[in-house]
Formats: sequence, C-alpha cells, structure tokens
Amino acid sequence: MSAHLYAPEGFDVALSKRWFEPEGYTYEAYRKDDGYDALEKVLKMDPDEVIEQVKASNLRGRGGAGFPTGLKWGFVPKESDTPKYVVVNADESEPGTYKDRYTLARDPHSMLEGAAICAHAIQSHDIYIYIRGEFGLSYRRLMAAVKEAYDKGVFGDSSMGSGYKLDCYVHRGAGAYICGEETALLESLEGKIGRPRLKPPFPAVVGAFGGPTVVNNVETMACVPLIFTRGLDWFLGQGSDKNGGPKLICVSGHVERPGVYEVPNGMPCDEFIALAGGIWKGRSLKAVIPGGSSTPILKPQPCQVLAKEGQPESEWPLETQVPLDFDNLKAVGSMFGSAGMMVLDDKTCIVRTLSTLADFYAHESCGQCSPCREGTGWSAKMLRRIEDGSGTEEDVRTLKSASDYMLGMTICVLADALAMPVQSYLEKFADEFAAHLESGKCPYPEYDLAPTGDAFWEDGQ
Amino acid sequence: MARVLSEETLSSIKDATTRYPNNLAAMLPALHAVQSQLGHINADAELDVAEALDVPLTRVREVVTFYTMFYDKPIGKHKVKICRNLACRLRGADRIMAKAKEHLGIDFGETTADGLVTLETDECLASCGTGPMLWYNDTFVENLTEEKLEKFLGELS
Repeated sequence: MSAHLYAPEGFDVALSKRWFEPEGYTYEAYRKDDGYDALEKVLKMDPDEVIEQVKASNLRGRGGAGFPTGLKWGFVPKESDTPKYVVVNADESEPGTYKDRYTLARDPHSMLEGAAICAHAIQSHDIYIYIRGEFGLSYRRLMAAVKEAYDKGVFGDSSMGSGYKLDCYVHRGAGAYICGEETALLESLEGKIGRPRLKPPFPAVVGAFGGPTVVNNVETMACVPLIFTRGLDWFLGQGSDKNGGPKLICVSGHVERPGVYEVPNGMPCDEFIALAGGIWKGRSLKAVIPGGSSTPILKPQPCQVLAKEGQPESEWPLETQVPLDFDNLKAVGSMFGSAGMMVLDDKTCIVRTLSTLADFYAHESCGQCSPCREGTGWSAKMLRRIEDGSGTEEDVRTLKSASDYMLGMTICVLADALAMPVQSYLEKFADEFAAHLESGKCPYPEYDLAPTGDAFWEDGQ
Repeated sequence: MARVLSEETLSSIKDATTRYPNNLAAMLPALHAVQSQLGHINADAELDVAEALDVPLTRVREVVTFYTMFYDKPIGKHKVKICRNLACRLRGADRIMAKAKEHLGIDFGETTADGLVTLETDECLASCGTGPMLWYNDTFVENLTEEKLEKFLGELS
C-alpha cells in the first residue's frame, strides 16, 4: 500500500484507508480489513445496547448539523404501526464539500455496513440511499457494491445469516441542492418536488412514507462500524471532547495540495492548512471558509474566545488557529458544517466571493418561503451591482437588513445559509465593500487559471 | 397503449415501483428512464408516466420542471455543464467559461446549430479539489486548462 499523503504523519487512517488501493472499493478489499465484522457482532447485540454504544462514541452527524448520532437513533419509537426506514443522505452538494463522493466511489461498503448497523439498532428492514443525480462513477460503484452485498448475504432475507431481513435500495436524485436538506430529501424520495417539511414532527417520528426514519450522512454511516471493530477507546481517542472519531476534511481554493484529508477531530485550522501544503504561491492568507459555503468566514485576526483567561490581547491566538470541531468553530462564531473548507489568499475579492455564493443560493431556493425566495434573489442582485462597481451605500445597508429578515424566518435553513455569510463578510471585511463603492469598480484582478493537477483525485472516467 | 415510451422503458418503470411502498415514489427513476430513452421528457411522455404510475399529470409536470437534470424540450446530443461555483472560480473557472463560449460560439443555455452540444453552467458538483471542472453525460472532466477544454470540446462527435 502506498503511503497516505492526505493525513498527518503516523495517523491511524480508517475512513480513507482503502481510497489508495487500486480495488479498495470491492467487497473483498473491505472484508480483508475486517469489514462487516461489526455488523456480525451487532446483529447478536440488543438494539438498545447498539444505540448506547453509538451515544458513548460521541459520533456526531457529518452532513452539517453535528447532531449526536446515537441520540438521533434513540428518538425512533420502539413500537410503530408503519415500517421504519434508514435513509442515507448521499446528496452531497454543499459548495466546497466533496468527501462523500470519494467514500461512495472508493469505499462504499463502509457506508453500507454503517447503514445496516443503524437498521438493526432501530429495527428497520429497509435502507434507502439517496445519491446525488449528477454522480456517475460514484453511482456505478455504489450499485455494484449493493449487488455484491446482496450476493454475499449482507442484505437479503437473512443478513449475515442472522435471520434478520434487510433490504437496500438506491434512489437517484435529479439535480436540486435543496434535496440535501433531510426533509426535502424525504419528499424527493417519495417522488415529489424537494420542498422542506415543517418540523415537528421530526423524521425520527414521521419520516419516509410516514414511518419513523433515521437520515444520516454518508461519512456518519462510514464511521459507525469503526466504533464496534476498533472499539470505543480508539474512536474517542481519534477525536476531541464531545467530537468522537476521525474526520474527513475537504480543502479547496488557494492551498498547494487540495484534497480530502483524514485528521483527528479538533486539529487546529492553521496546522491543517499547513498539512495541505500551506497557502499557494507563497502568498498570505486572507480568510478561511471552514465548513462549506454557508459557514461564517474566519479571518486571521486575534480572537478572544480562543485566548486563555488573563492573556494579554497581543498574545491572543488568531481566529484561523481554531481547533476544527463542531464546538470550537461554534464558539468562534462559525460552524464546522460539512467540513468543506475553502481557503482564500490575499488576492481574493471578498465581494466577488459572496456574490458567487448569493447567486448559488438564489438559484437553489425552492421558493416555498418568501424571506428566502425574495431575500436570496435580491441579495444576489445587490451583490452583483456592488461587485461591478455600480452599487450604492444603500445596497450595502439593505443587504444587511435583508439578512436580518432571513435568519430564522423560514421552514429550512437555506435562507440562513446565505444570511450567515452575508453578516460575517460585511462585519469582517467592511473595508472591501467600501472600496468597491468608492472606486466604482472591483479593485481585484481576474483569478489565475490554476487547476490543481493532482490526478489522484480525478475520477478518471 | 403508451404514446411514446418503449416497452423497455415501461418495464423499467414497473420494476422501479417494486422498490417503494407506493407508485408515486418511482417518479424520479421513471423520469430518468424516460430521459435516457428520448433525451428529454415531452408532453406525451409526461402523460405516459402519469398513466404508468397511476398518478395525476400535475405530479409528473411539477417534478419535471423542478429538477435541473430533467429537460422538457429537446437538447443537444451532449450536455456539457461547467461548474461556476466558488471553489472552481477561485481556481480560474471564469476563464474556462469564457473559453467554452468562445470555442462553441454559443452562450450558456444554448445548443450549437448542429445540435451536437448544449452548454450550461452548473452549481457545485462536489469536485472542488480538482477544479475547474465540467460535467458531461454523467462523467467529470477535471483539472481543466484552456488546452484541455478545447481538446475535449473538439473531440465531441
């Protein structure tokens, strides 16, 4: 096996271990690494005990919200008149995020095993995997893996010979960012347009087809078997306080070596950027979007939250030295989200960055709630004006006030996903907005065309 | 009798319904199957799907118009979508988008006169570490340079 170039030296990689093997995506490769041993073990355990183990592991949802996985499973009622379902959210589409696509293409069995364990824990017999419609190679590899799993008796009338019936179906999306939101995903799974549902009831009570449902992200599911094969101590040791397990972080933008890295939860952000080769071309860091496009931006400025008590301001750590986990990023006013980190160098235009994101959210709003439909659309228009130099101070003020009326006002968080960046960019980079208004044009150049060139990450077909 | 759907498509739709507790849920697989037969989903095909699934026509129509992968009008033989989102832009996707328009002589949302290529932009395709990139008939073309793009477009036939 070749050395793992996308993890800290000496780190015991688990989630991306097989990505580097030529046929690491096959059943044989997975089984050779103790794959499906966890499922065999779990099928002999009491379902409640399985949930307790997952709770104790401090595993938290890797799709964005960071909700404790065991707690989510525990919300599913024991008795139900309708069938219960396990749904895997493989609709990866948060800008900056590309880890699940590789798990699906290079190690799909780990996710299938996690989903099977979840099914046993909540006593469900049906797994649906909702995969993003645009995925080609990942879809084909997933379909092949599901077929292998049926052939080998993982799925079918008697999962691993236990007598437990377990079926697994793959459902292909058709192009809609909003379907990554779990209730929109359920609507889409049911054959409808992807409009988020009002909560409560939460999916754990009323989810797919009216039945109690657990919806978990691909990486979350891929973590689950590790809790049972490597053990609780190992799993907790790979993470930080209340953030169990190793973590996949996808980094893009202006680093020397973009890629998906496997690191311990809680790795300091500046150390992580150094691991990814540092800022490219010897330039300096302007800002970090830590967890996908919707997460508030971090600036290399002194941060009191990270300082020790009584530490003088001149010695405060920088915001961009924050440990990368759900709790620490929340403490500094941002989010770990889906761990899609985008790094911006000193030649990057903040207004252009935000304008790009606003165009995206305006395009992807499902239109159900007016604060989102109108708010994202008008924010995008104002940002385009500011970026091309025809904006006014009134635009900047309206942008801020519109974001106030978007936060927390809608059925799902798509409006918040734009309002949060708007507020943090305006607060931390007010000077750049002012510079656009004053000069009547964007003061930054067109970006260099610079593909990463690392063929390892190309799908190759 | 189906208006435009082939026996093969109808049987694939019937097969899809066995994977869900109700027929409506087979909508997305049904429409994917229709599009792979016809290249797009026209009004007759929508009627066929409504009948095959035994659901109201409006259910079909709203889904066709909601999702970006479904087309209700004929398009080019090849669909080429260039990612316009942030990670790709940070790596110079603007130049790739300009070059694609120049090479094909059309704007985004248009099809070449010979019907060969429909050019579009797309939102983040989860390929941020290998941007700029494009999506083409279910595959990704990554780490794009202007030369690589022109070679790719030139080889489409």
